[in-house]
Amino acid sequence: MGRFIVRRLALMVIALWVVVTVTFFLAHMIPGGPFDREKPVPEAIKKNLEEKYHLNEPMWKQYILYLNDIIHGDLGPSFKYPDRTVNDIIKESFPVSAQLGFWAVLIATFVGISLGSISALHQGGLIDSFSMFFAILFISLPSFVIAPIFQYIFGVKLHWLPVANWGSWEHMILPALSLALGPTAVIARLTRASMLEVLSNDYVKAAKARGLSGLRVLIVYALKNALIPVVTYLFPLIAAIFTGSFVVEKIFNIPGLGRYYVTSIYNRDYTVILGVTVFYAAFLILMNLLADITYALLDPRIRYE
Amino acid sequence: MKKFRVFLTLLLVFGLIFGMFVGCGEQKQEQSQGQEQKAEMVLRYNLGTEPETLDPAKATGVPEMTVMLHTFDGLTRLDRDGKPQPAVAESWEVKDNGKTYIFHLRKDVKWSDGQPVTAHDFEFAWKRALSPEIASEYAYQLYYIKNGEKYNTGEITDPNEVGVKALDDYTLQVELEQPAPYFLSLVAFPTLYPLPEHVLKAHPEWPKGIDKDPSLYVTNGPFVLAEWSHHDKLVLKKNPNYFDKDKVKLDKLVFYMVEDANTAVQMFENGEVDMIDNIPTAQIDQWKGKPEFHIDPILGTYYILVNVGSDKTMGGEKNPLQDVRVRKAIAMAINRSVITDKILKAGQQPAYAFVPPGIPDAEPGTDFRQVGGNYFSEDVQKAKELLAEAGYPDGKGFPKLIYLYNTSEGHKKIGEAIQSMLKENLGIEMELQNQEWKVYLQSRNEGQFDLARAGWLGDYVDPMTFLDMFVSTSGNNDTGWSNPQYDELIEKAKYETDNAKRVQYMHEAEKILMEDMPIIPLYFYTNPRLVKTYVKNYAAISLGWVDFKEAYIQK
Amino acid sequence: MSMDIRVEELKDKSLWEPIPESEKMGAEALTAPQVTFWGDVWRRFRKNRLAVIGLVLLVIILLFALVGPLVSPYPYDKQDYNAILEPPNFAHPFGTDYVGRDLFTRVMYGARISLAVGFLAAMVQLVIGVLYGGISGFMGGKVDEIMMRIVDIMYAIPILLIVILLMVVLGPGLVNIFLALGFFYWLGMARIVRSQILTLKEEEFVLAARVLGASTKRLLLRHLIPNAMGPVIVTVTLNIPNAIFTEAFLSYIGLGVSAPMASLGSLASDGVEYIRTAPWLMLFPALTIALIALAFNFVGDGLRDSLDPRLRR
Repeated sequence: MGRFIVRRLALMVIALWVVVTVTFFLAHMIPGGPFDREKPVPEAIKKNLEEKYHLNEPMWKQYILYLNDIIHGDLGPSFKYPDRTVNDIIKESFPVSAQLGFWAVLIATFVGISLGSISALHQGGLIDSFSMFFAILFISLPSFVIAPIFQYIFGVKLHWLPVANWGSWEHMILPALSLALGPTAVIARLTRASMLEVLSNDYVKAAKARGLSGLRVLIVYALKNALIPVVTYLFPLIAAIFTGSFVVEKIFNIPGLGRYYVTSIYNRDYTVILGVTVFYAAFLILMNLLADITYALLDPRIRYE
Repeated sequence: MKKFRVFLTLLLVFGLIFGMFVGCGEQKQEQSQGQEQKAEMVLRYNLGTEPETLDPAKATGVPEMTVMLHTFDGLTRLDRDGKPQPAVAESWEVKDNGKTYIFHLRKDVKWSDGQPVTAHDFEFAWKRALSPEIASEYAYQLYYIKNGEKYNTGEITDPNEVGVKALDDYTLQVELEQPAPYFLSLVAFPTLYPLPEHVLKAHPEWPKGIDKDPSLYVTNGPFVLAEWSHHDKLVLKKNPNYFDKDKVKLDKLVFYMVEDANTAVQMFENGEVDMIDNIPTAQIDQWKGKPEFHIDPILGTYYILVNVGSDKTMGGEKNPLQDVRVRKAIAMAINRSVITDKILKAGQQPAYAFVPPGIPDAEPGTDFRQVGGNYFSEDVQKAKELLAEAGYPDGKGFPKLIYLYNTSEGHKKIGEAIQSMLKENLGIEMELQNQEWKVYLQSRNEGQFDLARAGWLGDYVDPMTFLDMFVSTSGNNDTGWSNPQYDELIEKAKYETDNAKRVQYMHEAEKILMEDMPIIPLYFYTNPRLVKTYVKNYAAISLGWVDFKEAYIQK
Repeated sequence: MSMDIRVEELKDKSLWEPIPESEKMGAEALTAPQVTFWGDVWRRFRKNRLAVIGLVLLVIILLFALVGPLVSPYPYDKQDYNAILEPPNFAHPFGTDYVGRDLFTRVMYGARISLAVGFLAAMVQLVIGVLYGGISGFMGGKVDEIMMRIVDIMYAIPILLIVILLMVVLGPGLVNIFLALGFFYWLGMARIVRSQILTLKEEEFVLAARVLGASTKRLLLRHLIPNAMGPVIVTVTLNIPNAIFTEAFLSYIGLGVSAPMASLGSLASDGVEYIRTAPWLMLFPALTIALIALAFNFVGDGLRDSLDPRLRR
């Protein structure tokens, strides 16, 4: 296992380099630059700006400069927010997204697995149909639809919770729920499907035949084996949700990292695009490593040699 | 046993991640709770987006302007009509036919750290904004000053040659390249604010770090920075050192950065914010007639750019838009009141000329737009005749046009309406093409369109901010249109010191623009707002921002 | 442990019963009538009530999308400024939009695009995703590692960059949406399949097949992938609304169908603004998406059950 992890970490460095390289050139290939505005700045001023940020250098040189910075842990200054560095931006906004994401993932995992297991045990029953309908409903109404409805019901109508902004735990409830709904549905459906498969296996049937109670069979035999697809879905989900959702953060005005994903691209804020992407990539690859380790723990027959 | 191991692992993973981040969040919570104790007079306004910077030299947009308007005072300050009034300068002299200004500064103006504001602080700030290393985008606001452009472009390297000089602590002399009739408005803008030289000498990277230590943001305006939490909120508190502090009633100004317009409205309804701009069109009907609903003026025109520079359409056929009759036919066949009354609904006015209302004409009390009047009218019958004259009776043989717009709900709706009107009224087929903002800018710039939507908001209260866009050399003139007579009139107006003549030149120029019609005006913008009835005495300036200096709350 | 159970099972007399008399007659009749694999699948699919409902629903939506526009009295882009934002009524069963267009007609046209997108997304996942994940999981070792790192890399590169680039290079058009979706839509599926294969390939029946000399291709296509179908079908069907909304976003950015044509996703997204003033603008397109998703889900579940080798009799 130790050797496996070391090898994976080495591969991760290579993967990150590929991500940086591809993103770097993609970002510079799309038309427009960070200083294009509807009221175009005079050529001379644009030249000053480009010199300041080395945008006048040939592409390969900019690339080398960037690689050099990133190796030293410096993600550079933002073009859009000239008084802030990308390191600052990530440092300030990631904890916010991660905190929100933690609750969302927790809700999604807990509710999703419970609902999915119960549905599987009562296949074709009322709970099963109920959870299926809700899963499809929530998937068909994505967060940008659900979130304003939540705001209206719980904020404007009932005055229970603030409509938007960040600060207290009350501010966290609606965005966390909005974030959690979709994944909850997916996890419930995944758990149900793989649970059904596991339940039809001989060893589970046998356990049942031996007279073990449904719940015991579920927990001891079925759940563990049924969790592999859920884990596969869950870990990249953690990477995605912890690093923030653009839509939910924008709707609830949350100062998280997710907002920078999309806006930095619209702004052609090259350093932010790259910084945020690399950060996400590293997080994602680590999560997938954790997923693989979890497989091995869940199913000792899996070996990575 | 195995099951336990799995459980433990999962628990550990979650626990670690949880522990890492939750700590930071809790700290923040306590902070915000501590702030809401006393009954202060607080006004909460939605800025709409995160300010890019609070460095007056680097700021370019309305949100930045709105914040700095409250933290700084320039030589002058615009009143609610957009006219410059004395601020840090208590009086001034104009010499050399308008080429030299001598400003006399008030002696009681202090920085928020107690130091006096002197003429040297202006000289320092302006030279800083012009220096190539700062790379200010709005440095061209200072190109009116003698040698300003040369210093900014590196043609000269000695800042002392720039025409701004502190004659003593309270006298500032400014020499201009050419007379500029709106220079007194210009000095009210952030690029020309003073900066605390003593602070910037100690912190060359200023304003870097003001988010962590707001007291570093030493300013001279009615308010000072108290907190800046990025993409969340920015809090200003009353400046006890402000020279005009008796007029300031608010203890605190909170700016939110809610980008989602729908969220902002719901926050307003739930009492989480006192004033918002940018109401979604879908919700305007529901607010009309309520006391909270305001339609404030804003200097701006929404228009269509016509590509007259290219011989071929985007589809590769002969470009019919080079014929002025076709351009006029299109302009006359669009039913503007449908767009303003049925689609936009926020009191916008149909535009039959380019310069929007709200700019004074030469005679006091008159409006440039009213004096100039309309330059064309809607007339489908006449439009059909013009099109037939141009060789396309009932749109026969007319090539398909591409109408370019940047990604947005509002632009799409207007594009769809125009498409439908041209098809119905003239038999012209048009394809809508939307592009992401910066791609759109580039396409526009390269002439990759037949028709394109465009909008323009004035930088200062003068027709020139609209008219000088369409001179041949302007970076904003994406139409390919060029008219030497127009260029000459604009040039003459720029350097004319007699205001009556100057305005007359601009009227003549606008007439040429509308005769040739390289642009088709659609409507004049408005600024619909929701304001709680207890918010009093704010000044909505037609350049897009709100001044809360003298505002107060009366519940 | 599992072995013990099996032996116990064999010992259990109640599990055994004598062959009925009728079947004792003539040993040559022991073989059942030859049924093809797909015939068998179809037979079992037909017996699944929900699956049939799903199929019927899908056919109805398909007819609605393909035939509906031909009989509708309104063109999809006909604006009527005297009938703006009308709630559902006899003339306009789904109401009208902000320029007075008939929403019913627009939903029918939109369903065409969205069905195509949903179907394509399903295909991309089933073909590329399942094969890629299957091969990666089955081969294991270095191949697996490299294939999965490629997935990671593609996951991490911002899609929006690629979308903008595609938009600039290719311009608007439905085909370009398909290209964009095809590019990244299989990544999640590849992971799910791979993880399933990792466990499945250690199961006895796979070992048995291997011992019996089954080829890699046969092992993968006949034994491993069919057994991994549960999560696969769930992922595919649940991803369909997601794909429909992704298409809406891509169209919004400028890659895809241009206005005034609209897909269900863009109709629903445009309608969000009107949630409180004209809720039908969001409701009907979203409802149609949900119906499509529901139909695909029913059919998907039915297919899974009929394909499941363990349930085959």
